[in-house]
Amino acid sequence: MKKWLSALVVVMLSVTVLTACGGSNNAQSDNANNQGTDSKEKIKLEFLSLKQEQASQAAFKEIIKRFESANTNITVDLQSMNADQLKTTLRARAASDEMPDLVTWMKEIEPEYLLDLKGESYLSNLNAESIEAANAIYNDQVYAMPIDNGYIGFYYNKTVLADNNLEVPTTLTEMKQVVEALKAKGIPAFATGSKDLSVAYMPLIALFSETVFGRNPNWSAERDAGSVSIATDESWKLAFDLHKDYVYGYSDVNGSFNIGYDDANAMLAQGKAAFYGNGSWALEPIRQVGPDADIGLMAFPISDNPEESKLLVFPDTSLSIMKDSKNADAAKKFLEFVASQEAGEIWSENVKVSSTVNGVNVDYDPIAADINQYISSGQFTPYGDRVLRSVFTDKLWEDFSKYMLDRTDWDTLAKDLDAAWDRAKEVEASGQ
Amino acid sequence: MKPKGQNMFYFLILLPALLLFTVFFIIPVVQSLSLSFTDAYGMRPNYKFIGLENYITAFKDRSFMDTISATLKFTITAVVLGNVISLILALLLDTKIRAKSFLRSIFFIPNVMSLLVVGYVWSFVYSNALPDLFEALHLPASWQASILGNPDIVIYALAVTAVWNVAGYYMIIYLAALQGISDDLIEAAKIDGARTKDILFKIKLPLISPIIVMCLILSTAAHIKIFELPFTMTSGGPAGSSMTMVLKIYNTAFSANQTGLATAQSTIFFLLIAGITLILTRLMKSREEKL
Repeated sequence: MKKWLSALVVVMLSVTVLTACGGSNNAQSDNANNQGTDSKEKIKLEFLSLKQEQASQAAFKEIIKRFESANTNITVDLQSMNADQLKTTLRARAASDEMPDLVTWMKEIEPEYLLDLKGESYLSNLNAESIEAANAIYNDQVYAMPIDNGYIGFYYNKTVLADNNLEVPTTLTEMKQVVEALKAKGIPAFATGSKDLSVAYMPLIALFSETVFGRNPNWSAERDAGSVSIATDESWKLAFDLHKDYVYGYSDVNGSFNIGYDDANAMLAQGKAAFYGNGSWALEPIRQVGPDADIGLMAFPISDNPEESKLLVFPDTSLSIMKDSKNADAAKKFLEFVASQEAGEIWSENVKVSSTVNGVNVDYDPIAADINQYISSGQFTPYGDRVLRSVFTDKLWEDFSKYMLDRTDWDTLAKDLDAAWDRAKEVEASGQ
Repeated sequence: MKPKGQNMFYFLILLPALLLFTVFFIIPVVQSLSLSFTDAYGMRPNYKFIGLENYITAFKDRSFMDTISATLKFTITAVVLGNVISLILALLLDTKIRAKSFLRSIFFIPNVMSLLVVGYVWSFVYSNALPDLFEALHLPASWQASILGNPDIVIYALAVTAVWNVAGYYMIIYLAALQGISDDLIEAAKIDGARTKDILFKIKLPLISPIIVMCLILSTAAHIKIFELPFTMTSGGPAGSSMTMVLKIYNTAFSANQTGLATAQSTIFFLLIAGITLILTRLMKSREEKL
């Protein structure tokens, strides 16, 4: 009797579970079939973002709020994480075929996972050059929709310079005089926060962008063809030497490894250092410490020709739709909203960056004038580490502090970097 | 010999555990091993067999070989220092000292903290608290220089942090072993004229030597896998001097996206740990046989 009862319970439970699964499948298939036909169907977009800064998250939340109020049947689930977490999550999701709908673009996401946005009408709302630069590593596809233009350069505190009767240096000789004058007064010229090595690494990106790609925009193609190399090209050595001798050499060398990202931002904002090499993301935390600090932005003078100083300006935050998104139409609607003036202004005001949306000219900070001057005079380069292969940038990151601390010589470093370039090229070729 | 039915019964009892072990350990390990012979890269869905190329690349990579040296320096320092300190603490608590329970809890508390949290706390200690203290004590400027910024000492600074974290744990094991020694034995030794030094070196330490070897094995296995401390405190720097093997593998997999190479590095790492553990286990067995 007991056995019969047990068997009956098992059968009933199995039927219930299978029915539930079947119901779910039907519901899913109905969802898929109705996509785009029933406008009132509830849709949830999953959006994975690597923008972790408070301001970026606040801006995304505000944009999502406005989008949801205009599209009541769509909700956007924003999940913020760091770059490594995003990569790990996407790898796991790819393996289980459960990709999100939207992501902030990363060069590490293989194109076969991304939806080509070419031909989408809302892209015409954006600056065409920014779209082209954001998709420079692809042939003719548009996988990344850039929403702002970032930069990596050298912030400087005008008050510190003025108080010490110093002018903003425009040549390397002038820079030498300025940093020597500051050193003589016991003021660290550069805020170099080596406690978090990525903070010390940022100025190097700005420097090699100027010395290598600012002088020769085709350098990568020539290196791939074998006509130039890091070992034989003085431009790479110049970048590393300027980083070692100036950015680190004229910082608080003894305490540099006790200074983190927040400390370095504060040093510049509070006038405890004159210069600080970092990117657009650092402006908001700098302003939190010194809302009224008199701050400018410059490219590092790499020679005695001021025209060689070029600011690294590049499309930064970009959005992509995953190719296998079941809600691609709704995701496109979201991108359309993000490309609107309303969303562009929210982003620019909060994150303090220049928007790529045409017609959005938010006066987000006085340094915007400095950036515009570099752009309008053509003294900028869009090529930084973003266009370099991950295998090579990983080696750059691993080795830069060895040279900075005199733990390796140039010949060894250059040989290692050339080898890493070749390996990166091989790895890329093996996937084609 | 056990009857066949009884063997089947034991097998059925073990089957669920065996299945879980196979699904969550054996299969991933085999998959990982097979990946190490491929050119798997990041999110790229397809990859091909490339033989031993990843292993050759790993052995040719000077920075990877340097991580072996950094990992061994860290492990040896943390294992030796950690076990000596744990043993001293256990010997102190094995006396008639007052507030024994309170002290035992205090020494054990760091062990319940996550290593990530410990990393952030000690990063503050090395970068802010100690320089401020040295300045207040008017010590020479060279003393105030960054500890974590010195490539020659950074790995030892991380080892000290690890010791702080685990000393309480091994102290508890040593204390249990010491308390297992019969009081009669100690009393008899005292009657025979043994001094404190003799009791320690000729009775207590020889009697707990199997536990010492076990703690050496356990702490070696734990410390050699260190990742959290260099990840949170130094990012492997400066100049790669605190880049441990696991952090290097992580960077290869997630920064450089070279999944195939990272799994080859993991296999080398696994073989290294297996080799060291085997040597220590043999050591323990021979020690036990002598006793």
